[in-house]
Amino acid sequence: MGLNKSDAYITIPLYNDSKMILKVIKSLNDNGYNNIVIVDDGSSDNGYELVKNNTNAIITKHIINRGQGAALQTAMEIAIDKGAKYIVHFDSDGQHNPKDIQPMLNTLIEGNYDIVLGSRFLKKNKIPLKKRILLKGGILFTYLFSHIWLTDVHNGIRVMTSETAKKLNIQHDRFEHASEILDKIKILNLKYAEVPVTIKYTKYSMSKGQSISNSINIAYKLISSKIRE
Amino acid sequence: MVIQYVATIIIALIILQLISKFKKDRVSWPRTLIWILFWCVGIFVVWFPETIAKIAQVSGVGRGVDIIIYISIILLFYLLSNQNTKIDELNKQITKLTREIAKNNAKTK
Repeated sequence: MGLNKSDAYITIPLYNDSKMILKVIKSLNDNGYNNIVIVDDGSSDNGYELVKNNTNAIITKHIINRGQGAALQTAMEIAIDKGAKYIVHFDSDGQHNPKDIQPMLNTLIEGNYDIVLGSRFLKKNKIPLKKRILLKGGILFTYLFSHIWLTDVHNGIRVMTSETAKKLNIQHDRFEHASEILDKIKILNLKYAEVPVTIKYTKYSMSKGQSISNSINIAYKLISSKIRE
Repeated sequence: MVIQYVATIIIALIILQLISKFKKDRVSWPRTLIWILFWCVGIFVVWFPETIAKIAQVSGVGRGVDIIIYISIILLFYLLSNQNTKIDELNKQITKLTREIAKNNAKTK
């Protein structure tokens, strides 16, 4: 069973990232991925127009900012409507490498997995210390919270079948969605695997990443939503 | 005491506002009724503080003012958490709406 790259839809939430997005789309195209769904999440820059006028990607816009989780969910729903067989989550800031998608898809298909997560810790990546500490804390939190032990959390690159995407149905609009996905892996009993990926840390992507205060906020929101269930 | 008249006027204004909101169809009648009752109890307590002092003594709180403070805080927290739930709900609805618009927009392209 070979992999047809047109079966894979790359979903990208876009928020004030007009500097990088064209490069990201081009690198995806260069790697054979032409089904790209971008949801501009109420950006104040001209990313939407740039993508619309310069690429063949499917792009739409949240008229008001609803958060990365919400934008990703919208992108997934559009991809499913377009007949996607596989859904790929990808970041707009250029920190992911399109070359990592193929091995993830291969693992998904050959291993009959429901979802494959990218892990920056399974490969030699230069990860800034602050980030490393934060992520290790996140790994521990995920274990305590969702009872799954991963080598990486809150990594934006994921590959899944469209059936999985339908089941996921992301409810957390903001950054908590990344933990929500892990939680749902456990709840829905999904078959998952981790695959090493590279992450390119630049000053630019670091400035857009998550901070310590933000992490506390995420933990708080997740716990309170769990209590309410 | 002056404070009793001031409190009565303030509460009366609040009740009048409630009634006018109800007339404009902005609040449901059970809600209006509950709040009017609540404020009537308020007026009663203002004019007969000894009743609340009695309750405070019997319940072991001690001072009448303390019992009002306790009840107020409980009520405030309850209302606050109600508001939070409502805001969460509203946020979900706004996201849904935004998503539908975005999806429709994607179709026309």
